[in-house]
Amino acid sequence: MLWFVLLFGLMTLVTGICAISVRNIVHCALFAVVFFFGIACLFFTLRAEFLAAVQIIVYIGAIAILILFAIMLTHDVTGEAAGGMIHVGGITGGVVAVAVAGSIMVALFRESLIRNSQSLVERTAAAPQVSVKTIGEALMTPYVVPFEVVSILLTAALVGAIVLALEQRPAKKEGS
Amino acid sequence: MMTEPMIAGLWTDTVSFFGVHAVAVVLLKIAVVLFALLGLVSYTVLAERRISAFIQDRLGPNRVGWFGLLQPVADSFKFLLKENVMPAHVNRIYYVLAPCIALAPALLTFIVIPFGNTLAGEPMVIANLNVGVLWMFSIASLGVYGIVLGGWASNSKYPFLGGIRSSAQMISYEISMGLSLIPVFMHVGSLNLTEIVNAQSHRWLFLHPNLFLAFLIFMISSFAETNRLPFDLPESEQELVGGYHTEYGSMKFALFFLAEYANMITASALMVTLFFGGWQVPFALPESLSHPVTWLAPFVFQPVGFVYILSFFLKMLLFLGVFIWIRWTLPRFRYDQLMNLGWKVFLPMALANVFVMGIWMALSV
Repeated sequence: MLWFVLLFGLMTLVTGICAISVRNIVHCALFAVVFFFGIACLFFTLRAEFLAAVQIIVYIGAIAILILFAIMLTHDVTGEAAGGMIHVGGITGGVVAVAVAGSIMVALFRESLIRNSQSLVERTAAAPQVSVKTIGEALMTPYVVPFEVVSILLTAALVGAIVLALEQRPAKKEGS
Repeated sequence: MMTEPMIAGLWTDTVSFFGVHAVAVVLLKIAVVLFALLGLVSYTVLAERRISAFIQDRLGPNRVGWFGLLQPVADSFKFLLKENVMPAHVNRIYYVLAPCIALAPALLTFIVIPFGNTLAGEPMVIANLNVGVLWMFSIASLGVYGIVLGGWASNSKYPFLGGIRSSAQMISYEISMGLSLIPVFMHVGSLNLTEIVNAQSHRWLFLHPNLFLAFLIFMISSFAETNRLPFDLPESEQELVGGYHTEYGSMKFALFFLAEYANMITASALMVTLFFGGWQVPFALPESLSHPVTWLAPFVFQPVGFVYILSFFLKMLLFLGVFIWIRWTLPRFRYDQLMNLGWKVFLPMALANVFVMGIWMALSV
C-alpha cells in the first residue's frame, strides 16, 4: 500500500509541477488531467472510492475538458510571448499556496500524526468503510448549512454565467 | 521510470493486500472478459454490416466463411497488414496517443458490470465496487479525451470540428445521463451494481413508471455518448468527411472503431444491468438447473451459473440489435436540435423525474 501511495504521490507531484511550468498550454491542460487522475488514484489507494470517482467525474470529465475546449478555440497555444513565472501574480500565488499548504499540514500533524502512532497502512486498514449513504446523511443533517451555502454560491455562479451569455442579445438586435 | 524494487514492492503489496488466490482469479476473469469483449466487438461489426444490408435490401459481406462469419478475421488481418501512415502535419505524440485513450475507457468500464451470478463460488464481476455506477461514469467521461485529442492532433479542419462537437455533446449528455439514474439509486438505495441486480430478482426496474422514464432518458443519452446515429455529429461523414478520425488509417483507425463498438457493448450491458434485471432470468429455472447435478459433482461448475451468464449475454445482444436498428432507421439530428434536446428537454425531464420519484417514495412509505 505504501508503495502505491508513493508511486501515485510521485506521479501527482511531477505532473503538477509540469502543469504549471510547461510553455504550451495544451500540454499544461493535459498534465493537469494526469495530475487530477493521480489524486483520484491516491483516493482509491486510501479506500475513499466515492471521492476518487467524484474527483474524476468533476475535475477530469467536466472541468479539464472545458479548459481544453476553450484552449482549442484560442489561436496561439505555444505561449512564447507570455512572461516568466517571476512577477507579482506569480509571487502572490506562491505565498498563498505556501500558506494553504502550511495550514493543511499543521491541521494534519495536530490531528493524527502526533496523537496517533499508527502507520498510514494500519490506519487505512482500520478506517471504517464509508458508504455513499453515510456521506449523504452527513451532508443533509450536521453539515446542511455549509452544503446549502455552497449550493447558493453555485447557483449564483450559474445565474452569472447566463447573464453574461445573454448580454449580447440586445446589441445584436440594434445592429441588425 | 519505475525501479526494480518499486515493481517488486507493488507486487508484494498487492499480493499481501488481497492474497495470491484472489489476484490469480481476478487476472483470469480480466483475461476471459477482455477476450470475450474484443471478440464480441468484431462480431458486432459484422452484425452491423449484415443488418444494415438487410435493412437496405442488400446482401452484405457473405463470402468469407459460412454466411460471412469469418469476415472479422479477414478484417483484422487487413487492418494489421495495412501500411501505418502518419500524415506530416500532425502532432505526433497526441496523434498516436488519442486512439489508445479512446479505447482504454471503453474496456475499463466493463469491470464493474456483473455479468453472471456466481461460478464455482466466485462472483461474476471483476471489481465489486461500492460506487460502481459512479466509477462507470467517471471512466466513461475519459473517453471524450481520445476524440478531442485525435481531432486536435490531426491539425486539419474536419477532425478539429469533430473534436469540438464531441466535447460539447458529451458534456451535455453526461449530465442528463447521470441525473436520469438518480431515481434508480433512490429506489434501490445503493450505487453497487451487484446490489442493483439483486434488487431486481422479483421485479425488473423498468416496470416502475418513473424508472421507465429514466430508462428512456438513459438510453437516448447513451446514443449521444457513444456517438451513434442519430447523434453521430463528431463523425458525420456527409459534413465532416469522417470527423475526428479523418486523418487516421490502418490500426490506429481500427482502435477508434473498436472503441465505438466497445462503448456500445458497455452501454447495452449497463442498460441490462440497471433496468432489465442484469443476469436474472425472467422465469423460474427448472429444478434440474438450479440444483447441483450429480454427474457434474466432480466439477466445480454448475450449469445454473452458465445459464445466468447466457441470460445476461442474450439481453445484451438484444440492446446491441436496437443500437444497430436505430442507426439504419433514423436520420441525423442537426447540432442545435441536439443541444436543445439535451439541455431543454432531457435535463428538466430528468430533474422532474427525481422530484416525482421522491414524492412517490414519501407517499408509499
